[in-house]
Amino acid sequence: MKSTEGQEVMLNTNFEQLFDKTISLLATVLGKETLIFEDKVIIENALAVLVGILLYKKEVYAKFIGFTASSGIANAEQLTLAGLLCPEEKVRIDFERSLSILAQNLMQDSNRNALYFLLGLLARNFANISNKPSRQFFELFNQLIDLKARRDDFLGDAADDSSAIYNPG
Amino acid sequence: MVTESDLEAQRLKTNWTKQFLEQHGWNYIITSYLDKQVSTSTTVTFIEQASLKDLAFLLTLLRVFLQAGFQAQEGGKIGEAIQLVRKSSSIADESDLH
Repeated sequence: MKSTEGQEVMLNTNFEQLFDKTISLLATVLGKETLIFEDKVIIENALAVLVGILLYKKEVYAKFIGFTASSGIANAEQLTLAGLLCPEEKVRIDFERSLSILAQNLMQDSNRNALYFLLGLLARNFANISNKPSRQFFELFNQLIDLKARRDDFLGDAADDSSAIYNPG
Repeated sequence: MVTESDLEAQRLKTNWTKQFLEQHGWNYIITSYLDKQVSTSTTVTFIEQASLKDLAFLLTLLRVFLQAGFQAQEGGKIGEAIQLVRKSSSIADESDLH
């Protein structure tokens, strides 16, 4: 596709509307008891679309954090954990990659910081993952801790208080 | 080595995308996608599975076009990130969409 055609796609897209639809769809599909092939294709593509939108329009991050649904998976925290601890390995891998990319690219400030959101969420749920397939959960947690350490080294005295990240008030 | 027929196939594919967009194909994809609902029932009927296949294909198309759009706008950085999300775990065959 040429760049003029790509720009036409971008100009004719309501990214907020597309984000709302896609995150709702992802929560609905992920909330199913069993996933068939098509569900996994939908999850893979929905994650790619959501990551693309969040990197392109960083203000949409507030919609991700504020996501709520009336049934099934009810919010962003449940959605994240459902993906990372899904019985299907492919889904867990897709979530680990997507969340890792978000953590690396969305840390403008402490209010819009995917790294802090994810670190806090995984730390608070560490005790709740027994009897669940959790390899991707641990791998992501390790990546986030490394990322936080590198960020703290870079920021020096200006680094954010870690206790506030792991146990937000 | 690139043959004459490879070039012709490439030209036809490029023209297909251009014509599709000129005839509001992107708007059609978005509108169709926004209208779709997904069933949450535990037993999947033939009709529901067909509808799910339709939605999976539509979302694959949407992601491919959007990725190309990001590639055009953002010097490829976001397009590469999307590619990374799908790296090696991918099950969606999209070779015919390019």
